[in-house]
Amino acid sequence: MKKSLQWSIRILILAVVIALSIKIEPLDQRSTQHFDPARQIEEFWQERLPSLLQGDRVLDADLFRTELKNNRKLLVDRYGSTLGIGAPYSLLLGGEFEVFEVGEELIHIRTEQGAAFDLRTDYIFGNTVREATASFSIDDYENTMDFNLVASELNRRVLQLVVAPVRDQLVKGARLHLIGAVDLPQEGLPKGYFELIPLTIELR
Amino acid sequence: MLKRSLVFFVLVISLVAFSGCGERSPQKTSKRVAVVISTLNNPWFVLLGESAKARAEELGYEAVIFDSQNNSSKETEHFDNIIAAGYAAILFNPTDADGSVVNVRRAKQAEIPVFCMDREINARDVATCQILSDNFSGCVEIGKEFIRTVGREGNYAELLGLVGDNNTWNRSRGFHTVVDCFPGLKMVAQQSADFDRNTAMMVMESILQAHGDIVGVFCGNDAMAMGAYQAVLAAGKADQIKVFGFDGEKDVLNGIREGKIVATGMQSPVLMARTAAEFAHRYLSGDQNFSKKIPIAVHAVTRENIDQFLE
Repeated sequence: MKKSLQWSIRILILAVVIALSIKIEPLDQRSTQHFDPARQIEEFWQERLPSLLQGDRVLDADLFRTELKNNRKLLVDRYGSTLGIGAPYSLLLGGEFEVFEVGEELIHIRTEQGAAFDLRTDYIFGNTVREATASFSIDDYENTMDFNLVASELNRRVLQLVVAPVRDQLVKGARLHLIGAVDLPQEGLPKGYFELIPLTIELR
Repeated sequence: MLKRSLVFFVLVISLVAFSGCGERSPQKTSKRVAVVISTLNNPWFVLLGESAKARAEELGYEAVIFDSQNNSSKETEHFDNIIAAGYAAILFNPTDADGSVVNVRRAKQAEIPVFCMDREINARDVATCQILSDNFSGCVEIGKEFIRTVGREGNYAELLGLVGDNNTWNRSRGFHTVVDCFPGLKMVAQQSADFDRNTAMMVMESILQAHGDIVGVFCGNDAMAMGAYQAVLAAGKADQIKVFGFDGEKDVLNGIREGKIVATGMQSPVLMARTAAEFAHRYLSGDQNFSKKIPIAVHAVTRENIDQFLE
């Protein structure tokens, strides 16, 4: 009787030790640990982005159209930023636009001189914004997951802080000044219009 | 006599000293490159390993492939042997993002540069350079294709790769960045199938028993996509369930053309492997100025553009 009690206590202690040493977590939480992109982006968004958007990295949208035909190499060398090998070049473009057509996710805009773009106002994915700012280096991150989370956080802020406040005012005929990010493929052109992801929108 | 003995003594000391120098840094003069691959039980990794070996040989090195069999301890054994044998460089496809760090660190301590291919390790300061697929962006494109094909509503499943591999999570995260924007799409099962075709088939069979109504399955690699498709076909649901993969394997490319698989992400194992070998050559030739990580773009392959990838 005494022996069985001793064994029961031993097994109980062992079970407690095992239970305490095992941590069970859902698979989908395994991918998002430690790094807090929101905290890192806050400083960039508040302090560095405004001066970046006033600087000489922003290319005039009309100039983009003409240089694309005349000197694509100069365009990407001077204004483009790309991630690694084979990815598109991302650039910052700015200008005065008029709204021509309003869709669910895309708004068709044009400059007075005819440079036409689709402004993306929903479902913003990918690295375009992060790369166009040329402010983040993959080498600064412990792993690529953290680097990707930076892109997602920037996209989230664009939707919440740039698009949402003016979305209802983006109607046909509206005039606006905007600066946005665009992807230029390594070769060729996109099938439709270039998609512009806004970083600032000022209604005129 | 004394003078001759002194000369002889100096000569012997010099010989011993020089031979000692040679033993301390054999990699400086070695022309051997080790290609350590996580597993050769998957044609994609075979291509990666063979391409790295071929390019290293073109550049004048003797190259040897080591198969880690997806086993970290096997990988450690390989590194022990490689370091002891004084290889000049290691072209490395890790088994585990965290577990492989210690091996790379030991190689670094032995002054052997390591160039990671395809799979990432969770450390910035040990590998000379990491040449990686941009899995996240590739799977963002697959996610968009998923929405275009499956729609914005319905139940779906996801088959993950190895849970210790960063690629698994970068792919999953990229896919979910898109799909999670649509609340009508509900993930009813997310299970690991270890990047393995047979495991994927078994996992998919059990998922189908519990969730016969799913409309799509996203698989973290093409081997799993083929396994999932087999299970879907056997269940008679090939028309109902759309299968998505990632890698750009020949089987899946043919499957896309035949309408069995909807889309995959085209990685460039040959480009990654060749780049790693060329970087190793540059490093050994004295140019040590590299970015720590070089992502390589991944393109979505669908029935619309399949011809340009099958050529």
